[in-house]
Amino acid sequence: MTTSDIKLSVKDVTLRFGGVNALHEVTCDIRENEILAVIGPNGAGKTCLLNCISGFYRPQKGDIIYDGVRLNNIPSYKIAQMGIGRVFQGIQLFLGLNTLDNLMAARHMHMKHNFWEDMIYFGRARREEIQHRKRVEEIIDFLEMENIRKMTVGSLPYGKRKLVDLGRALALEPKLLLLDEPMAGMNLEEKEDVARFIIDIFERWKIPIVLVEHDMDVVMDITDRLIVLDFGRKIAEGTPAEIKTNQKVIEAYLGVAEEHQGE
Amino acid sequence: MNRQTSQRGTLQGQSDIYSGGTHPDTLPKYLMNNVQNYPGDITMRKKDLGIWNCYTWKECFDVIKHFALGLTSLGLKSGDKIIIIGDNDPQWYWSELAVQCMGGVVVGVYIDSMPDEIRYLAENSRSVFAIAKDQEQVDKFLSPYKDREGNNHRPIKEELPGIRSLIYWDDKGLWDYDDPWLIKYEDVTRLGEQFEKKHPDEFIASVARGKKEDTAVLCYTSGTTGIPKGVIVSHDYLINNAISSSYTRQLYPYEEYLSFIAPAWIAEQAGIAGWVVNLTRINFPESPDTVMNDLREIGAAFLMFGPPQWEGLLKLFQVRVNDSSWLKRTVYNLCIPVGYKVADEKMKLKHPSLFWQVLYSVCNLICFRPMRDYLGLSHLKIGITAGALLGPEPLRWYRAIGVRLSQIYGLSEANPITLPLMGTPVKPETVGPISVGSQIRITTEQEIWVKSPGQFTGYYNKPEATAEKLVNGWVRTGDGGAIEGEDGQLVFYDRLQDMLSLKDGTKYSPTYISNAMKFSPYIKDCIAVGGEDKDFIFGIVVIDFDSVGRWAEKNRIAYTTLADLSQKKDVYDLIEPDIRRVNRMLPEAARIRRYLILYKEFDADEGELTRTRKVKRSFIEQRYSDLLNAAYAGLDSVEAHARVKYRDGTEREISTTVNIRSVA
Repeated sequence: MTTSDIKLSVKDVTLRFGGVNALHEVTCDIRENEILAVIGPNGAGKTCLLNCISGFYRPQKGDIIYDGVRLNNIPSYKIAQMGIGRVFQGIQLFLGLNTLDNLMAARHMHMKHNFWEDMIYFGRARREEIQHRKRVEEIIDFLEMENIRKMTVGSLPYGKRKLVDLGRALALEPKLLLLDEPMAGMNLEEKEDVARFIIDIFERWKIPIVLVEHDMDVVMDITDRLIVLDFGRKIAEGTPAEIKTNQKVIEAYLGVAEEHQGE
Repeated sequence: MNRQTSQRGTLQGQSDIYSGGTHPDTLPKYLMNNVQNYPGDITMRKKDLGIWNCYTWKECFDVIKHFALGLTSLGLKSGDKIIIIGDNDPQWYWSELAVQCMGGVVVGVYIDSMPDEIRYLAENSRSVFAIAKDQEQVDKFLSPYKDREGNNHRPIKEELPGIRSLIYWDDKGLWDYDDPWLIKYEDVTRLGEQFEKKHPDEFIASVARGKKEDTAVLCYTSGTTGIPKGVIVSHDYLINNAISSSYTRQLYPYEEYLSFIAPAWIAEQAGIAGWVVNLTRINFPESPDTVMNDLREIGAAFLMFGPPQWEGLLKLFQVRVNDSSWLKRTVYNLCIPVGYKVADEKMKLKHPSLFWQVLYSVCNLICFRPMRDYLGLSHLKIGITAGALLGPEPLRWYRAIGVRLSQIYGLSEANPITLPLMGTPVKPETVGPISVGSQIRITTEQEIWVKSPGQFTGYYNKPEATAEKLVNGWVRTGDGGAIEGEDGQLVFYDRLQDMLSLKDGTKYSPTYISNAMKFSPYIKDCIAVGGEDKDFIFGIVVIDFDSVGRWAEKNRIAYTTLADLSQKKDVYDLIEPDIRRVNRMLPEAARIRRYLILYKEFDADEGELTRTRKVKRSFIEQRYSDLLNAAYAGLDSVEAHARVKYRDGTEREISTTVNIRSVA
């Protein structure tokens, strides 16, 4: 592995909330061409790690390097502009807008025309609007959301909202996609659909994807590599096959560790 | 009232429209005509990325020509079969015409077919190419599969080396497939462009070689009765079908049509024929999920749906009404009874009185017209349900809001047999008047035999099955039916094998009788009791408490409960004309001879209905065996004791006298 393969690297990151060590000296790399899963029991620090990467939390120690740039002190909106797209665990959408407008709003970052051009809506503003609408429609087609295009997001069922949220992240044209539990609360069929979409996104846009997910079947199926967190520490890293047989991981998940501690 | 049902005999529609004038004899020749005469006319639309993309005859023709030549350069010969599986898309229409231009035959496959079904059709038809829509369909050819018995199979690709290539038209998800067996649609047309440079006359020559008796399509039967058989559909069949529909529906060129039903089915094949023959404008929805939205944007003049789609549209609307504002709901609830009233009158072929006509126009203005607009049916000239019978309730509802909805009758082997003529009323108990040029014969066993200008020439490679189905040019449908009235409308009972028989062997259809009875607003349910140990058919009628109650109040008939109301002489008098109405549709020996009105409604809590409100016949026959015994013994009334379960769980015994009447 050469360093040029690495899209983003996390080095010795420690995040504390008061006395709680949310992340403790976590080190990991995200490579150019992989789907990486972050797994771990509840409260292991998975979402904290994503929040550190996307700039919502500031780690007390360690570096986060993305394409050779240190992200630690860069505000989150600039990190998004640098190409890190994110799907949140709780859905963050405009509930009063329809699917189309939600995705168009996500294109805001890519719009170059100014306020005055918008006022007359002629020339560049109009041209850009059409261009962006085309991009958004491609995403709607990609995620098979044609039937909810004009429906307000507030009226959609949970599974569909998750999909819109994924579409919103894609509309940013990310170069790295962070997915925080994209399948939480979905039924089996919806999960299979999303799993297929994740693979399709990876194949079509060739971008690295970081996936936080609880459903082990899905994770083992679609990822190339996993890292396992437990109480803020990285306890394992490897391919699905390696992780399945890793003693530490089994203990963390099945709770055998407590007996050992008691001895 | 005294019209006689000709239960047997022959009936013939007029047939001069087929011979009048000379027309091209194959679909590809029609296509050539169209592109020469109207190259710039928009003939097809497909919604993609939220925009309706239009295609002119010239554009369609170019794709078809190049795709056809592409197939030729890949080795397609005249008479070769090609299997197609996918959604309704322009590419399906283009592929089909392209194959036919080169003298090939299309084998359509339903999109939800399992790999073992696809394999059977491909093997049976000896297909040399496969065309599939997307990754989902392509995977069916590339992955190992299990058949219905659970045996493991290798992929179809390996099992059937006869399929030389698989061509796909939607590359989503297929970017990383590097199997050379797979070819992209556009790559085939590109091959065709190169081929055309070397052989510029090949295409025209091939189209000119086509003859009307050439096979255009193999339409496989569903296989509900035995293994699927390939129905040979010639160009002549499809062209006559299209001519007959355009004549009866009085379609103009470029009327909008929504392509939605499966192209593997003969009904949509007729749509494809209508495209080139009648110049219908074909609109393809964005995806199967968006049909209801797209429908409104299209404003179709002619629609063909199966019963599930019509019912779905109705349910969708009813849900929206319940969610709407108080005012809208009130207007709807005030207007819809007026619609029902007028629709019922019209279905009885009566003219509503002036008062109702005026009231109906008001309702039409404030309610029905906006409703039709909302549903996307405002430009609809005629809606057709095909495939299965639509229940009485949806049919009444659509007619109430002013949508001309009719049933048609046809088979893969001969189509269409009946078609509603514009402007002529269709009785709801029938499937409409016989189509132009067709003939119908009802045999002594009540079987429908048909002869039609659009008719198959046999089953592919199955001479015995053909001989069984095709007798002296008549197609044996295997369905039971009768011809009704002077204008000759066809009554369709049921599949012969699903009909029951009486002691003397007379066949009757309990489903038909109960459905036909339910067209009366006063009748909620009806069961026709019979069987091989019974001499005649006995009807158990359940009245609709609301509507009969309202009728009773209006006519100053005092009553207390349903049990009381149901046994009034006046109520029996009210119901009897409906029984006579249905009896007119039935052969003499299979008519409802006697009936009673039940003192209660069928109840799912008591096991008489399923939760989806389907009547459990055998359970009811057993439960009311006392009543039935008395009825068959010839008594005029019987004392009934029944335990009634109330909603709160308590049970009470009620006893009442039930009257039994003979139908005059």
